[in-house]
Amino acid sequence: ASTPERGLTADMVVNHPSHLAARSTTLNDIWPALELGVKELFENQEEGFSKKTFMVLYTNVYNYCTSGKPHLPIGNIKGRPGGSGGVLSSLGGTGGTRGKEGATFVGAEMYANVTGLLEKHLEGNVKKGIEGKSDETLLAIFNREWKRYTMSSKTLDRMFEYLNRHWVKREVEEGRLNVYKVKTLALIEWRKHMFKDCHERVTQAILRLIERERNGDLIDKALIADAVDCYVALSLKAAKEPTTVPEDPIATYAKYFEREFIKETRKYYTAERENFFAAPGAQVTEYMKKVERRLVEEDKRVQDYLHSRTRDGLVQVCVEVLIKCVVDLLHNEFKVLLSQDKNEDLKRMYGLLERVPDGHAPLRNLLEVHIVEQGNAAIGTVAQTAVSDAAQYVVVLLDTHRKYATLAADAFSGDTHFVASLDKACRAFCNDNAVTKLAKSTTKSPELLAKYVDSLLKKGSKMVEENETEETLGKVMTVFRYIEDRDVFQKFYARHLSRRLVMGTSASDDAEELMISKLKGACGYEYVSKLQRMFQDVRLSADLNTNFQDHLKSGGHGALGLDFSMQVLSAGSWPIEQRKGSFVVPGALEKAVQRFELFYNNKHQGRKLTWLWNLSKGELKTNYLKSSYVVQASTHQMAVLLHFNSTLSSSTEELRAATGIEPETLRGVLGILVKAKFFVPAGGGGSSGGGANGEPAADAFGDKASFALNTGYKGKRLKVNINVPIKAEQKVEAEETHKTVEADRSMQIQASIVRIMKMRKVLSHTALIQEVVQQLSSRFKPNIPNIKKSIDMLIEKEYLERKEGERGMYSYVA
Amino acid sequence: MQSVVNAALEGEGEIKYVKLCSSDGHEFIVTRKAAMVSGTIKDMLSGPGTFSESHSNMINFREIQSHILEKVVKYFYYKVQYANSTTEIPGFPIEPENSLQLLMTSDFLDC
Repeated sequence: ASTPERGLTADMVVNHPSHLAARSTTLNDIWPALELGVKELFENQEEGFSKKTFMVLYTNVYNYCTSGKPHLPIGNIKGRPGGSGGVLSSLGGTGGTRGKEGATFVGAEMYANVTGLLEKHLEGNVKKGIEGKSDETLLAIFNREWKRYTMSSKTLDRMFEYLNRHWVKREVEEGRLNVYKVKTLALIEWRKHMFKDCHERVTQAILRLIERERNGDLIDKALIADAVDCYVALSLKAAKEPTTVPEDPIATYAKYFEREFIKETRKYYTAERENFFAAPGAQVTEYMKKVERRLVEEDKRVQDYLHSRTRDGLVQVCVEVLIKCVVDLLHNEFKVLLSQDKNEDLKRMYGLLERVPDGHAPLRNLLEVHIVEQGNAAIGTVAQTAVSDAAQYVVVLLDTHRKYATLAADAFSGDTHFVASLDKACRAFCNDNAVTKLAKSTTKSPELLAKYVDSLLKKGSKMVEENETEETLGKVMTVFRYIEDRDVFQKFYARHLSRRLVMGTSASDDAEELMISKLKGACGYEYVSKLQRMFQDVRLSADLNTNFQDHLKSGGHGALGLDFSMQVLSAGSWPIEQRKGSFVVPGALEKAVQRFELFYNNKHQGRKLTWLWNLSKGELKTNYLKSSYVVQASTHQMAVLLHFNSTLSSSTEELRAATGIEPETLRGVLGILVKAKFFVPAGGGGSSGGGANGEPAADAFGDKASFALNTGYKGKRLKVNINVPIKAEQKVEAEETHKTVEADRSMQIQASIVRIMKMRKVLSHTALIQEVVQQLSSRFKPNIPNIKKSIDMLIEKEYLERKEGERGMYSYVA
Repeated sequence: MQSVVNAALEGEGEIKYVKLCSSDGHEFIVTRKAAMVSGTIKDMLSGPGTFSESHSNMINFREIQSHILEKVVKYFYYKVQYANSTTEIPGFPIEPENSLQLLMTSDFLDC
């Protein structure tokens, strides 16, 4: 309203007879017209309501309200026993706030009348329409009446806007209960007279319709939607009642409909479930499909015609009845499905159990167990051959892993928990399976894996030709990640790598680099530092060679008479032990060796060179045979052969003296030479017949045995390679590697303990062990007794000491 | 002129203008938006309009005199112009002799 310029207050206005309120309007004056108007509003909606009439009625209300004189004696108010209090209090109560005149806001009577009108209308016309109807007709009529009623009450509200604005507001401010704005009043009246009586029937009608729909019938969803709207609308308005619980904004809906609905749903689905399982031959897979369908259906139902707030309760009930109650059944079925590889059903089960809290945990366990079983079974079938066949072993592991990785990604949507179970299971069967049991060593797995990689990276491997390097190495890394004893792998790998580098049998440098970078990614720099230094050495050696050749050419010392190249390896990085040998360098090589030593010592002062004759090799040409053969032989073999340049036959003893080779090695060398038919045992020592496979009997290499060159040698090929690694040597090597691993490990444990104690100063026994295990977990799984041993050793060495007075505590000794 | 006015009132599509009639026959044609400033008029325009097809868009105020109604209409436009305005809003002049009736009318019209 516009601001008055002089201090006029509303009281003065109201009590002042003015142009607008020309006469003191009594209720009786205007009520008949009002009553008629309202009746028409409610009953004859189709005909429309003209503005003029509205205007008139509004004005009437206004006039009455502004007339300022309460006309009926107090206590004689129709229909609203509480209403009289309003007039009374406004008489008295205003005194405090408004000044002494006690201006009254009249309206109680009118309010009461309006209430009465609504009541009459509802009881009379509307209710009659509902009598005796049921189900769809009931709903239809109910909805129609509701729509009409709401529309009319809107207009009614506007008509009595003046009353709302002043009298009602006052009453509410004064805390008067049961006085509301007219539109709220309308709703409350509806609730009181219509809803209370027929809500049961209406709810029942709705529920019956829903049941029919669940059974497959088509129903008119609009009926339900409208009725639900009515319930919700009633709740919203009724919330203004101080008596209702304020927290639930749609209390009416919740109480009268939702509750019944949920109950009904529960009954319905329990029955359905029981029927399903009572029938013979009930398949759990079929059940799951059904449940899935039902859940989708119910969701749609909520969307279509129920209030969204019902969704949670509904889903909960469905899940509870349909899934929770049969959880055990589902778990059992899970096992069966796994073994039958029914991915789709598994996926469905995953989806269903997702809705149940903690429904997945038992599945995960079952899955893990199953995978371990499968993995072990797979390995078990090939265990015998796989012990030695690295490729087969790795392939079988990979197959199992891949199968279940796809399953996890597919059916379980890559759920991280399931993937974790997969990892755990794979770790279990990679490190502890039939093969490792056969080999009686837990470190068989990494050993075989290293062997497999070696075969891939060696010359002649199919991998490089087919350009599958990245993929295959990737697969290898997958298995690698599950290996617990990584340091074993590293040792074996280093050994294989050194052999490849020294022998030059590496298939492709790129492949090697790739592998190293992958290992670095998985284990960190330290792991691969030695390997990388090996590569470096090889590169440096290549440069060194060219330099040496140049030096020879320019040096003018005269040609060497043979092609000579060497590799210089830095002792620390290569897993090769230097054997102190008494090897006598064959004469032909001596010059070259000396010249190189001179050259190198000039280049790098202060470095010691040790020749590794057991790894060196060379080529010889036969001049004594009809066709000249080129023989690739190890240096030891060369020495033996070259000895025969001076004599045609020789005894073992002589050979030993001449070449300085140790007896064991010499035995092996001679064995190969004999097998290759270059040598023939000549006379002397034991039977000339060999062992079962044509291998010479052990004592054929006794000191007195003598050999002669086989002058009748005929080979198929002109190039002969007799430089094959001796099987016995290999086995010994493998064992050696294991031993070094053990030694290294204890070193590592000790180093780790010292590190931890240095940081913590004081630590308890159990905590220390935990920390050690954690630190070393990326390399290998330390053995608890070993850790204990290391602790004791360190105490002896005075790195640690037991704390006095406290049992089980250690402290660091600086 | 009358035909133009009628056309504006019985508009096709959106109704832009309404006619407010005072007690002594004066007709004030105002934009719908301006008229909506009054709560009562707003109710009347949106209320019965829903089920009475006869949109005459005309409201008779048999109790309001024309000079008062005129002032009220001016207020409508004043309100519409300066509502949510950031500029300085000038005052709305009211002659004292009208003030009482204006007050009551504003109470009646809820604006």
